[in-house]
Amino acid sequence: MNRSKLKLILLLIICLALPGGHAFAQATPEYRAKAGFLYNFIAFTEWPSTVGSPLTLCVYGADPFGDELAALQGKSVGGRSLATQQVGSLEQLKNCQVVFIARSAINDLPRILNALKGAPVLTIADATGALDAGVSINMELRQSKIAFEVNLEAAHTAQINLSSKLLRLASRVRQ
Amino acid sequence: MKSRQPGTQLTTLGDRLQRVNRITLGLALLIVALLIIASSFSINFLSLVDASRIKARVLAENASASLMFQDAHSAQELLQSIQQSPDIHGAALYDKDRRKFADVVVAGHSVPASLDSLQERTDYGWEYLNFTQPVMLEGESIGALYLKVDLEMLYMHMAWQALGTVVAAFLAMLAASRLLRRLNRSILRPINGLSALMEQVSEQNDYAARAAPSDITELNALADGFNDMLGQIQQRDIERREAENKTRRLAYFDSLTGLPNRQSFLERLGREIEVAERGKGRLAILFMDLDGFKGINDTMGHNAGDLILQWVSDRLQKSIRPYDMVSRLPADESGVELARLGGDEFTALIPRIAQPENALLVAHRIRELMRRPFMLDEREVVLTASIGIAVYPDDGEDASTLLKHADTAMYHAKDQGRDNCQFYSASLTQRAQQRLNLEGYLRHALARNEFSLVYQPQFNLASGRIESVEALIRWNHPEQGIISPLEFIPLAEENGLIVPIGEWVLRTACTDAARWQQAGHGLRVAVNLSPMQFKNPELVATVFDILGQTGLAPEWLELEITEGAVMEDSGVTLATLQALRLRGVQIALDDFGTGYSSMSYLKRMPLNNLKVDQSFVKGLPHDRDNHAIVRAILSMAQNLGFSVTAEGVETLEQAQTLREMACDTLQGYYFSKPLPAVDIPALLSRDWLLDEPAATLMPG
Repeated sequence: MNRSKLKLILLLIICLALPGGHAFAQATPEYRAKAGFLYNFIAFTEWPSTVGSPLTLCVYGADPFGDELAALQGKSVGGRSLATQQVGSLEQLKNCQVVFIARSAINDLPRILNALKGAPVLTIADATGALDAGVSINMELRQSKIAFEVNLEAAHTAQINLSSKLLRLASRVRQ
Repeated sequence: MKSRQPGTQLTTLGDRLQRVNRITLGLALLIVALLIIASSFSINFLSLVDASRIKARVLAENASASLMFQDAHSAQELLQSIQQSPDIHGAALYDKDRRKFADVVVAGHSVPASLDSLQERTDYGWEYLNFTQPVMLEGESIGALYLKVDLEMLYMHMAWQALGTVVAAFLAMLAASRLLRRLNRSILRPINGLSALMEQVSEQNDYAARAAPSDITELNALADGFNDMLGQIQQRDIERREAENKTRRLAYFDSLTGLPNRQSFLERLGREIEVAERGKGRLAILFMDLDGFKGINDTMGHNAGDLILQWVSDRLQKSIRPYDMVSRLPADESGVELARLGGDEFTALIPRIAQPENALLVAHRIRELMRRPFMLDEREVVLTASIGIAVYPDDGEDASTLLKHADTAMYHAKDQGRDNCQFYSASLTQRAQQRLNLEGYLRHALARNEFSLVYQPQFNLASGRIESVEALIRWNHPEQGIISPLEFIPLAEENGLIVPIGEWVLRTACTDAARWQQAGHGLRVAVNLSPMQFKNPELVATVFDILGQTGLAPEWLELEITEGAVMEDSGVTLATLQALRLRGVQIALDDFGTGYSSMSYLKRMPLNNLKVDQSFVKGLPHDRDNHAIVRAILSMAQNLGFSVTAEGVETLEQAQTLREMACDTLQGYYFSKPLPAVDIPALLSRDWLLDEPAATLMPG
């Protein structure tokens, strides 16, 4: 466990030391890692076949990833290409299959979830209590390490299937 | 029969089959065992490879999330599952940069720190199998799983399996070998049977033997072939024997009459001569020629002649049949063999004849049968036979000489006027004919009253008077005059006439003695008994019948028997003698000293009197040997309680000598020749003076 911690610290140091491509869109090492997690979540999630391509990853609220998400743009996952989008209103959520609710918009969470109710959308947050509020996956920082918890009921309601591989890595699975 | 190449080891078929079976079986089982081991190894190996590869794939599949999320902890947990598989000694997860991300390793083993490639690959080693399985996500390698499989378990497993296979193969071989041996035996038994049969056939020449059928086709064919071969050999053997028999018949038998031919006859004669020579016996051959046969051949043709010859042959055979013979001694003529020498010449071989005249009897019988007419084309043909006889050893000592002399005798018979028999030697012809004639006369002599008795007085030295006489038979033949008993008694003994003649003698002697007694002359009469009479079981009854009928007291009768008769059958003899003695009949042993009397025997016999044979008396008094013998006999007789009569006393000197030796009775011409019964009483009153000097003494 200590070794993992050291690794993460090392990773963060490396990230900080790397020269940024875009000065204004520089993400913190934490979000850089979380951006990777987002991709991984998508990779281990199945949508109903009615969902077509591209798969749109929407960030609701202030984008904390900088240009990290741009790297995901166009990436192939599960036979679909990946698209990213910044959304600020509930109406915009209609086109999204993955919605990351930023901490800045966490107060809107009940409304957002309500708006997405029944739609095949993977909801992801990184705020304490968000899981119990109804997001499918919630990321948290545990002992300087990114962990995540899964709300299977929420995923089930959203008609999406989370891979057992993903569940195995989850720090908590809410049935 | 048994042959083999030099230097080769001789084994039985069973051994050879067994060896071949073992080698074949062994090889087959070895190959099967190797195949089983090899295939088992490859199956096990491949299944291990497959299982390991699947395991690697499953692990790689499950490891993707851990790699993606850089979760070493969960990766470690995932890899822990290999500990359930004892074959797997190590598993490791490598990240995209081929660096080791997580590993689980069994103590004492290791996994590489980094990989050369993330490509899927399998490294085959002697001890390990290494699998590299890429961890894929979205079509890209995000790392690799490395699996290290130890082959030791496989090897151990295979070793056990190989051992099991070998043991199973060995057991299978054992069982199969036993089964094969039984099978072999079932095949070998008929073969051995055939082999034994062949041996039997070749050793015993038994071509009638046959092989038993077999339920194996090939062996059955072999047995059939063998039987066919035996059948053919047997057939040939039979044909060969028949041919031999035919040849033999041709060589030894006359084809017309079926009688033996000249060659056969000569061989048989040679053998019989050898037998006769060893037994000091006699045999005779008859040589017969048909009188006038040539005329029949000439006037009536050869077919008629052949027919006659066949009939002659039949008659000859009939003539020698024992039951057709009026033979005195059939035993003499058993085994008569006929032969046809050729033309009208026949021979008969008579082995073991006692007297030459026996041959003459056969010849006469043949002549009688030949004289009967033959019916030929309703004509009576009368043939006669001329027969020549030659006797072994008198007329020749070998077969060809005998045959030649019989032939000569036959011509002699023809010269005598045909229908005739002649011996080769004239004296034999005459003697044999005489004896035959004599026998014929003898049969009628009793009825014709031609016998008479004479009596020779016996002088009792103690009383100086004639006290007994010996009865002697005389035959007065109307043509031939007096015939000596020496001549006709043996003949009578031979043909059994001695019994009635002896009875007549006994009766006559007893009648005469009784008559003398009635006239006041007490004379004992001595009668000779022949051995044949003595053996007659009726003897005792006959004697007492006659004594009763004539009124003569038994003690006035003395029976003289010879040593031979006494010695012959001790039990019956003794009983007969005792029966006679018990009633008072006197018994004298005649011709004592000429036979083979045993002294112990004499002691047991109930005798009264010993008659010293005249040959001992003849030399007295000068012959010292005879002197000693007579003295010894007298001494012995005195000790045994017998009286002694000396026979053949012819001179006074002899009489005196015998008196000195204390002999009891004297008999001989010195006293009197045998006299008719009527002349006897005149002698009884005479005084006999033995004390006078020999020169001057004259019988009164």
